Amino acid sequence: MPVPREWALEDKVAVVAGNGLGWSPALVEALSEAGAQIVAVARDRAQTAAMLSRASLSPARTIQLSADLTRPSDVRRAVRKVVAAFGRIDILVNNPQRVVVQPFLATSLLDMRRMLDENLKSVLLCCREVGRVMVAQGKGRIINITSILGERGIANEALYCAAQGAVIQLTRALGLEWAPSGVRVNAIGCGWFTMEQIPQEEQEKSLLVRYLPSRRLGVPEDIGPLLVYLASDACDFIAGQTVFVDGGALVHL
Amino acid sequence: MLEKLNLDGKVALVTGGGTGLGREMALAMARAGADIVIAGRRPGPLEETAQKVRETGMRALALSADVTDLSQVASLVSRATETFGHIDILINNAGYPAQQQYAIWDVSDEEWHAGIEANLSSAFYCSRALAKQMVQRGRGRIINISSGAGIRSLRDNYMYSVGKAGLVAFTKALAMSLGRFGVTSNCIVPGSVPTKSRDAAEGAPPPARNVPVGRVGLPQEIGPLAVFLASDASDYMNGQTFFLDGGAFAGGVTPTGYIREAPSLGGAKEQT
Repeated sequence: MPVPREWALEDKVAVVAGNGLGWSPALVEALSEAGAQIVAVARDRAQTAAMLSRASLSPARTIQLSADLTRPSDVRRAVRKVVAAFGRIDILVNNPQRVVVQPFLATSLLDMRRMLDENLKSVLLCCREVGRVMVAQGKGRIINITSILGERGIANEALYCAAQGAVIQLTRALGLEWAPSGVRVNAIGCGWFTMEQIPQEEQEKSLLVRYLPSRRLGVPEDIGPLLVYLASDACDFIAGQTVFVDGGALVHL
Repeated sequence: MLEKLNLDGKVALVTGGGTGLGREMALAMARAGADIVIAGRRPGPLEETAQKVRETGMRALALSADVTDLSQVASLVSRATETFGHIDILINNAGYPAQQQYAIWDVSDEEWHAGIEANLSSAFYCSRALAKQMVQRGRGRIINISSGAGIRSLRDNYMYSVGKAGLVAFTKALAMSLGRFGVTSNCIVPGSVPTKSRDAAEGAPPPARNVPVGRVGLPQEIGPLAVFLASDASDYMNGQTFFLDGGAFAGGVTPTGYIREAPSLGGAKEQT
């Protein structure tokens, strides 16, 4: 395995909470390539199976758990099962991905609740329940996957921006609160990503791509190695930080 | 996808590479497979670091240079390029012990210029000298080492704070300008990571209790981060500032360890 010695996640227990969409399979693949055992937690079996679709793991090293991550009792039950199976949790990756593009004036109370439940409440609950285990262990790594839209605004995505901004602040506050307990809470803020292979020539036809300093959209492989670093023992002196992987989008005037 | 962390076939130039964090980054990159050019003012430590690089099995070239001197930067870059053919990774790590700690009206013109030259212009000179070859090869990594003083600040310390802030802005300007040619630029802000040379620059670090994680950083902790930013695995990170600071930048609105009293939980029942 080409991972530098310090980065190895050999036999660590990694809980990935979210859904099967987007870059989830790549995140799982990166963790498993570094040697971690994977617990995929999502709404149903189809989602957890999708999360594991790229992992080159023996099924013995993975667990799939179905849970509604917006329900405290479901999250608790899932965490209890992981602890029963492995005795500990080393890594938690929170990867909710509900994106809704909608003018704010057209937003119903239900839209607000759904957005905040899926993108924020689920993260709060997973952090609290897994955090309980990690603080007791005196060690742990939590990585929240968030967005440049938690740092900058954009029209027609007010709810998403609000939720992601909250995740970035949660990361800072918990990073500090659990720093003395050996639990490192950090985040990865993703820029404009695509899940498809689009030739460079094709990409450059897009105004958005021409705006990006790196002149391309991100692909799931762009976040895997960083995730492994943030999850590793080597990364013990970084806390409360959101690292943006955005091809320079945030640098633009 | 982790094979991208490999630095096989790459050549890195580290300024201020003889000691401290520069040496740690040089060694970590060598262990990841890069050949290393180490530049600095004092030949003794440079040669020591070069020897340690060779012990990892990689090639090393120690070049004595003052990177605030344009002609020395030019000969540094040409000798490095002649020896290895190309430079893929530039780490602008050389800094200057900005011991100035007095009122602004007592700062002389010479001190101002020297401080900005050492902390900021040196990175500009080295980057300028290497940028074209990186662009022509369609790949390159520029990593600037800044300081927390460049984002927030220190009292009565102008050239260090302003120079280091300039490095963050320089990182972004490089990112904007060179990103589309495959050259990325990022910044590392080491927090409380004591080394002899940094103590001279920033004063003795605060005690461990003033770092949120409850300890100071170890110099070798910068190694894996430098390898990541130097590697193809960080290809979509551009213009970012990475804080290796034990959590310091996540807070800072109160002294570390200052905790507002939580109201009594009335039996501390766990909340569901």
